[in-house]
Amino acid sequence: MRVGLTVSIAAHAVILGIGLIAFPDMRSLEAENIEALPVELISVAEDTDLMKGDESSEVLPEKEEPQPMPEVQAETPSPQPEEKPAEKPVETVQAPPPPKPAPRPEPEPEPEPEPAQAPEPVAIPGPEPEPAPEPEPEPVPEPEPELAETPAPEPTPRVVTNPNRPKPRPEPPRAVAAAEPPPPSPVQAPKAEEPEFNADDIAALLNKQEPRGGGTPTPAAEPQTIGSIEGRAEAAMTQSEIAALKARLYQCWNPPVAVREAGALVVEVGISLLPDGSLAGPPVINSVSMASDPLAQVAAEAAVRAVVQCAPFGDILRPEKYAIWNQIDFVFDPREMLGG
Amino acid sequence: VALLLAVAVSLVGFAGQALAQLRVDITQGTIQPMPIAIPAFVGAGGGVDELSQNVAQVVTADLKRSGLFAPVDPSAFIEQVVPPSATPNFANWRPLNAQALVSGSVAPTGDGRIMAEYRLWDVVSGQYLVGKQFFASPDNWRRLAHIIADSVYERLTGERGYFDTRVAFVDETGGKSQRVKRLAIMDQDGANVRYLTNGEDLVVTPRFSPSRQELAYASLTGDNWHIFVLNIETGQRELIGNFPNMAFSPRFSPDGQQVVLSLQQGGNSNIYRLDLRTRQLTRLTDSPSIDTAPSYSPDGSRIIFESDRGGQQQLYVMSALGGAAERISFGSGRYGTPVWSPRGDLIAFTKQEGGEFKIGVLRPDGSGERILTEGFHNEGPTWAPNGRVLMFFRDTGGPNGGPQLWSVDITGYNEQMVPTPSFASDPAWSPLLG
Repeated sequence: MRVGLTVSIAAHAVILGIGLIAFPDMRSLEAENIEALPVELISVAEDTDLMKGDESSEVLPEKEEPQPMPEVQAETPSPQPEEKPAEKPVETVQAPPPPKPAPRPEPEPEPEPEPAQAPEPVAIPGPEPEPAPEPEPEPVPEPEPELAETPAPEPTPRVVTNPNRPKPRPEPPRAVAAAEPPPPSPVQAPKAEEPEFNADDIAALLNKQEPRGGGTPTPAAEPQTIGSIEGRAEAAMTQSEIAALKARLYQCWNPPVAVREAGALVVEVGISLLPDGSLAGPPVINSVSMASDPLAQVAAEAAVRAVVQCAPFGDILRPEKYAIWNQIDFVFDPREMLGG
Repeated sequence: VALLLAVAVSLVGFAGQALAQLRVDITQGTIQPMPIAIPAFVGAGGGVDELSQNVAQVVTADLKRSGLFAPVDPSAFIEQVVPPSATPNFANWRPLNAQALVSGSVAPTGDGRIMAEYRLWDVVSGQYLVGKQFFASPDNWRRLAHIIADSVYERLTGERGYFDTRVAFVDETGGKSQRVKRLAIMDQDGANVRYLTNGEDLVVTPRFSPSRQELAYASLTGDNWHIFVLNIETGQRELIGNFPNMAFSPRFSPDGQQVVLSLQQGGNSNIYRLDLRTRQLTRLTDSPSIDTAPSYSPDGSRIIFESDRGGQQQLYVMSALGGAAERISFGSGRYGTPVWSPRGDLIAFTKQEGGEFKIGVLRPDGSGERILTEGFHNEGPTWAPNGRVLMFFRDTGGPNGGPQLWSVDITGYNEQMVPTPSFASDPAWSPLLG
C-alpha cells in the first residue's frame, strides 16, 4: 500500500510538474488559439460550479487544496478560479479600490514661461541667434528660429513598461477561497477507509480537514457553507463577447501609419476593471516589442489611448463574469492591419 | 516526496495566477486622422492678438494638410485659450473627441524678437507629451509655426515632419504660345513666394541640394542648355560646366558635392557625374540610347535613371560609379523621371500608359508598384524630406489649362492642390530648413 501510495503521489507530482513546465511554452502559441476558449468551459466547470453561499455559514480556516489542474488546457488563457473574487455574502459590498484618482496635474509648469527658468540650460541656446552653425556664406541672414526644450513640466515617464502585472485588484479573501469545493482528493479517499494506513505521514501533512465547503451544485443536506457568490456562472467568456470586445477596440485603435508599417511592433496593455466595466486605473503597458525603436513610445501611447477611449466596457461585459474580465490584457498587433 | 509535492503545488498555483489574465488580441484598427485641438495661442499681455492667432492657424493648417490630423473646429471649443503654462482642463476637450491638445503662446522678448512656446498634451490619458520654445524675428513667425507643427507631428506620428520646408518650382505665366517661365520658391504651404529668375531664360527641372539651400536647374539661353547652381539665400548663380552639347536633368548627390546629369550626343544621351569642387566630369553610362533623369539613392551608392535601351523607356538601377544597370520596371507603358525617396524605401516615377500620365511608386528592387494618381497629365514627382508625401504637377488640359502643383500621400490618399500665384510646374521639395 505504501509503495502504491508513494507511486501515486510521485506520479501526481510528475504530472503537475509537466503541466507546469509546459505552461510557458504553450503561452507563446496562444495567439492563434483564441478559438480554443470554449473548450475550456467544460474543463473548469468543476471548479466553478459552486453552490450559492450562505450568509449563516462561518468562515473556515484556509485550506490549500491542490486543484488537479486540467493538464491539457494549459495553453488557454483560461480564467482561473482563484482569480474569482469570490465575495462572501457577508461582504457583499466589497469596496472596490478607489476609482482612478483624478488625473493629477502632474505637469508642474512654472508660473511664468520664462526661458531663463529652463531647467536644462544646455538645451537652450543663447538668446541670440547663433551664427556659428551656419558656416556658409549667408549674407541674407535669415535668423534661424532657435529651438529650446521648454522646461518640461515634470517629465512624467510616459510609457511605463511594467513587466509585472499589478496584482489582481479584487484580492479574493483567502478564507473564501478555502470554500472552493475540494474535488475529491485522491489522497483523502484512502484515509477515510483505511484506518491502518499510517505508515506514511504524507496524508497527514497534506490534509487534516474534513471535506467541506461549497461542494457541487447538488443540493447538500449539510448546512451550507460559504460558496461562491457567482453560483453557476459560466466559466468563460463566450466567443461573441470576445468578438464584441474586439470590435469595440478596433474602433478605438488608430495607430499612426509609421507604427502600422513598422511590422512587429506589438504592444500589450493591461487594464483592471471595476464591476461596472469602467477602468479601475490607468492602463499599464505590460510590454512593447521593439522597445528600442523610436516608434515604440508612439505605438504604446496609441494603444493606451485606444483602451481609455473604448472604456467603459459595461455594455459588453456581463457582471456575472466579472471574475473573468476584471483584468484584461489587450495585445495590439498592427501586422495584419489593412493599409499598413 | 512531500516536499516535492508541496513545491509542485505552489508552483502550479503560481502558474495558474500568471495564466489568469484574459487576453484579447487586437489586430485591426481604424485609419483615421487624429482629432487634435489647437486653440489660439496666447499673445503679448495674456490676450490673443493677431500674431498669436496666426501662428495657431498655420500650425492647424499644416497638420490638417498632412492628412494625418483632423483639427477640431475652434467654434466647438468650450475653452478658447489655453495658456501653455497651465495644465489644461481636459474635461473641456474630451467631449470634443480631441485626442491631443496644443497650447501655446507668442510674445515679444524685448530685444526685437519673439518667443513662441508650445506644449502638447494627450487629452485621452491626460498626459503631457512635449513642449518647446523658439525664438525668431517677428518676420519669421510662419517658420516658427511650421517648426511647431513639425514638432507636434513628430511627437504624435513618430516620424520626421516636413512643414519647415520650401518648394522650388517653375512659375508659368502668359498664354500657351508665349509662356514665361520663372524659377520661384515658396514655403511648402504656398506662402512667401519669391522669384529667383526674371523669366528671360527658359528654366526647367530645379532640384534641391539635399544638404544646402542650393538649387541646380537647367536653363535655355539662346540655343544652349546650361546647368546652373543657385544659392537661394545669396542669389548667387554659378554655371557648372560648359558642355559642348545639351545638358539637362541635373540632380545633386546626397552629400551635395556632386551633380549627376545627362548630356546629349547626337540622338543619344548618357549620364555623367560632375564633381562640383574639381569640376571633373565622369561618364557613368555608355549606351546607344537615351539615358536620363538620374537620381541618387539616399546613401549615395546607387543611381536610378530612365533609359530606352531595351526598346521602351524603363527604369534602371546602377552603381553610383556606373557600370552595369539592372532594369527594375516591367509593367506596360513607359516609365520616367524616377526619384529615390529620402527614406530609401521607394522610388517615385511618372508612367505613361493608355494615354494618361500617372504618378506611382515602386521599391528599389522593382516590386510593389503602386499608382498613386492618374489622369490626363501628372508628372515630375518630388519627395517631402520625410518620404511620406509626394508633390507633382498636373495639367488637366484644355485651351486655358495649365500645370498646377499637387501633393499626394504615398498611400495614394490625401490628394491636395498646392496654392501658387499662377500656373506652376516642376516642383522640387527642399530638405528641412532647420
